[in-house]
Amino acid sequence: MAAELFELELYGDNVERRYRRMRPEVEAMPWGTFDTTGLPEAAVIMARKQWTSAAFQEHRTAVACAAALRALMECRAPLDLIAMASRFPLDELVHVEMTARMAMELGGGTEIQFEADHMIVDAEPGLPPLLRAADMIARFFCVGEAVSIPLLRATWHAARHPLPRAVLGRIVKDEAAHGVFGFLFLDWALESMTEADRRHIAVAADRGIGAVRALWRGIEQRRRDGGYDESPGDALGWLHSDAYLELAARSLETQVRKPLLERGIPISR
Amino acid sequence: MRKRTGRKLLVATLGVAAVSYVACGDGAVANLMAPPQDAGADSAADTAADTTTDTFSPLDLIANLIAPQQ
Repeated sequence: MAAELFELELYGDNVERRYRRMRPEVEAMPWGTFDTTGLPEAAVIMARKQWTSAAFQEHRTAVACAAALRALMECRAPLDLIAMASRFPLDELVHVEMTARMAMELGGGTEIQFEADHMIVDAEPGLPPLLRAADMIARFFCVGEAVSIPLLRATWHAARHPLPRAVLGRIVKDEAAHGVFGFLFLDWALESMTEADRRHIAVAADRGIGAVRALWRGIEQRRRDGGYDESPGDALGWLHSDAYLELAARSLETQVRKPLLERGIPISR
Repeated sequence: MRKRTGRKLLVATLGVAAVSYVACGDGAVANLMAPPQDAGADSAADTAADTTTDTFSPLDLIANLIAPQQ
């Protein structure tokens, strides 16, 4: 599969108007007010990269939410639970738009090459529907979304400019429901699961936890290596590494590992 | 065909702080978790690698973790 450049477009016309009616808060944000004058060029490029990366990650999360939604329907999860999750892909698309526009506000997106067939890691197709859903939901929601909430909230508080504050505030508001969803699903699904199923979920969660920790080790190594001035970070809308890593470790314990272990999921990471 | 007035939402500048997720598709093996590699000389270097014997694909991570210095 050929690599593609991560860029995005809007259809426009009535389609955009319908979309705007669904989520009017996006256009109400103070777009066009971010002045990068006086900020070091390297910091602005880093910020463009961070927001472009955030748009890509939100786009991947939208794919993940859609995949999980299909699995929820296939395993006939409770209808109200599926309905709750049906909002998530739209939430993520809104986040894609806001983060992409932040990158453009700072001077434009940076280069991300990706393969459209490999946006997420799907559950094995041979698994029974319930376990297929549980595999994805453990990785996407019980780990990824759950651990991201405190980090997003802290970054929101750190951001000084009204635009990134508005963007991050919106994301925080939406993600609150995403963060609890995984455990709501498990509380239903575990009623009919075997010990082997629980071990399968643990392996899936461990995979997600391992990927999160690997990302954080990378940040720690770059911090040790030095060479980048983090001081403009709060102006541009992100946390400094030390604060981030400290909160990340605590959040993984309280938001992910503890609730999984409390539900008898034998994670090993 | 009806003409529409669509527009670009995100336009990337080639060569700036480049990151590749290509060849990360097999989410279970290989040296995958040096989080996204920088190809651009004009951004802070991304040199991190998972130093343990375990390896994880960047695709195993589903979340916008807004990490500093990714």
